[in-house]
Amino acid sequence: MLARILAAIELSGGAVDLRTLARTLEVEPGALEGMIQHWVRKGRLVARAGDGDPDAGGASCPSSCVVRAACPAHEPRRQ
Amino acid sequence: MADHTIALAGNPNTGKSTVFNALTGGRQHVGNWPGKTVARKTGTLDHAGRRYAVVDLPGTYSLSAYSLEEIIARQHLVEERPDVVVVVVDAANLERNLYLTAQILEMRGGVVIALNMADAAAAKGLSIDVEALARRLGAPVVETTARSGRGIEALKAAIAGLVDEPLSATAEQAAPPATAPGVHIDYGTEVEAEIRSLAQALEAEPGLRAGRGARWLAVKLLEGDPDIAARLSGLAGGAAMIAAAAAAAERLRCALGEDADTLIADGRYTWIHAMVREVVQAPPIERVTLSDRIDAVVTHRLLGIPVFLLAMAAAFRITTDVSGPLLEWIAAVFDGPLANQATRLLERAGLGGTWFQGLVVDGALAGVGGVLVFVPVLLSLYFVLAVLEDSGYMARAAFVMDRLMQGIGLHGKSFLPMLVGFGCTVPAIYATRTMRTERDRILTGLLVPFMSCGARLPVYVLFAAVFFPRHGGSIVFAMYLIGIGTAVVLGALLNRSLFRAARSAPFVMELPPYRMPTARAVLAHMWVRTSGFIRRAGTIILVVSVVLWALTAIPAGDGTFGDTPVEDSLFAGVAGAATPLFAPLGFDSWQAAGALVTGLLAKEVVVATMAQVYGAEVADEPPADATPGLVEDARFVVTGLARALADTARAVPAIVGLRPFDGEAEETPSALKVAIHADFSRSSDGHPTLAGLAFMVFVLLYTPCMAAVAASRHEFGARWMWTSVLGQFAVAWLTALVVFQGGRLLAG
Repeated sequence: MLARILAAIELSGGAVDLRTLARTLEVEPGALEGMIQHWVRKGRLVARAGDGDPDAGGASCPSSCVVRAACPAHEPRRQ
Repeated sequence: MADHTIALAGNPNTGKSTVFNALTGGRQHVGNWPGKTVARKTGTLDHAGRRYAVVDLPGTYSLSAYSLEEIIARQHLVEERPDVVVVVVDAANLERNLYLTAQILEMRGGVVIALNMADAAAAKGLSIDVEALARRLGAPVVETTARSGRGIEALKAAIAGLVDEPLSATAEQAAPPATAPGVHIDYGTEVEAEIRSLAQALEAEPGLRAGRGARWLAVKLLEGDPDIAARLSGLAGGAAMIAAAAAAAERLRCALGEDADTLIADGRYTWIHAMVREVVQAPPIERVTLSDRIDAVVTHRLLGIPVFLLAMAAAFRITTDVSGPLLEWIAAVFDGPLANQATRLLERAGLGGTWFQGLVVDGALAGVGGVLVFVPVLLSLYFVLAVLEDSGYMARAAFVMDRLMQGIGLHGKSFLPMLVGFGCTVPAIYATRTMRTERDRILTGLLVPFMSCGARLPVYVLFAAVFFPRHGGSIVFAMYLIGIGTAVVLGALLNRSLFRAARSAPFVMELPPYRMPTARAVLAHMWVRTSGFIRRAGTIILVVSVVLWALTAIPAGDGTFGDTPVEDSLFAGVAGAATPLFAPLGFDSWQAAGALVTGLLAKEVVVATMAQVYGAEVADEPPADATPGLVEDARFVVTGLARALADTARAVPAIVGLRPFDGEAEETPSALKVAIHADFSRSSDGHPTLAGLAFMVFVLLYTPCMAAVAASRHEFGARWMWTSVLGQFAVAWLTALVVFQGGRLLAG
């Protein structure tokens, strides 16, 4: 499941709405947020602070994340 | 003294505190977790002759050791070993909430699930098979709506049922039931083999397990859990066990190409997803909300951009056209009635015709007026911005435009300030507030002034009439394109140098639901932002206005202060000193230099200055009559306001259509055209057209007016203001140099 999420974001090639992505992957938006959060912790997605709901006061991930540039599907192990 | 202990666990915002309150009533104590700043709520529950101590654990999404709350919750469950764990689950967001539930059930038994917010789930059309869920989880599940108290008695009964089972009495026995997992998630052949191997090794090390389940501990070690590793590292055999787990994780990474913690998390998500599909029935046809329907058009790959452009065009028109009549009214009030009455008062005080009158009327009053005329523009802009933001559209606009704007390293929201910049740079700089990151705000703020503001249009129109009489329209339009092109090139350069950031195309964004903006919120936005402009920019521009007036009043040589022809003033002297700077650009007269200097105050002043210093008169200047009386001025103010409001009302329907360059250009005095042509012919060594074009390009790109500079300082600080001021001047100078000198080379 987690790999599907990452692949779907990478393949989107641009902005993708969380709810639309959740619908496509048939996952609850809330669960999708949790999965995105996992990839953020792993460093494979990067939280882009400040987007999303203007009232969120600069919402951090999972409200908005970007795939880190030049991030391989299987990055080298961190020490 | 309590007979039993209960811990309440759950995700944030699941109604856990409400369940806690429903269980404990008023018998609560709030303190802190030992040595931590996280609040700890405890209470007591009396039920069926037993007393329970209830502890409300911090709300967490998982039991990993990533946050203090997660560590506290896990430590309590592992070390305090409550008899019963109540996991409060949001029934409307079951899939996400079950991740924590699964982790708790992997850790231990003695768990009851409070399926809370059952009413919200029903409202979403979700039907949950509670019995099937309980079977799959291996734990009792009770539907609750804690807010109304529904299901709380059943929850109490389920708790009592668990403590009646002889499960938790023997904590240190070989297989203490509370540490026996409630569920066993299958993580796949390779992962399971490593878990089994580690668990077997741990079974032989009771000192390492310290009452924890061997499988649970093996999973945590494989996940590389730092808290568990820290606890084991000081124990005999701990280091070897950690090394064995690391080796196992490395084997999995080599075999499956992914870190062990990801494989394990993936296993949990997959297990949960399959269970949710089995026990939850969503409506047969997915409910498409009104937001979804709007988004289908607004964020559509093809339609989204035209919709955005239409919305932005409307914002642009409202900012410029609708506020235009009021802007003109304020300008007329300052130029007319206020100047008249100030003059009258000064005459009565015996100061008529003195330099002090010039200071008050031509300096201070004109300066304040120069600021206040922007107020309708700002109010209009902030009205539009507030409506777009509060309605939820701005997030969609960023979503649609992000990809395009990333080409120059900007966020999608940068497009709005850019567009507003065609009307006026000042509100455009303030419009950068819609962006949340400092980087995006500053980069956009640096590029916005290159969008040609409306105040520069009269300069283009005048110079196009002088030097390109047959292609005026094309030349003026080219100025706008040059401004956009400069911003694009500069943005790309800055993005690769000063504002380098790790950005890439794909991103996920949560779009907020649409909502109706409230009048109160919109008015608050408008006032807070506009009042800041008046306070800050007003003071700076007032000082600059007075200084510039003083320069035109001070004679360079012989003469009287306040009664000196402008060509003999210090202003002409100072402007003359600047002429060598402009000589390579083809215009080295003090008149041209002086017009550019006054253009720093306001770009509209460039043409007026030229009209004065070239000794020509602007055709539409009102004839000098006797000073009108107070009543006459009051009538002028009131009728002017009525006319402005009527014009504003008439401008609203026109927003649906764009009318660029709709003939607002003023009639240019032919004497002025002749004078400009002659001066540029002299200064350009016979290339007046190139010099004229270079002058237009310079006006387009050089340092914006003082109000914009003040706005820049207000928004981005002195450092970025000076970067903008000097940087734009350099860009303008170099571009004009290329135009003039390059043109000369091409012309031979």
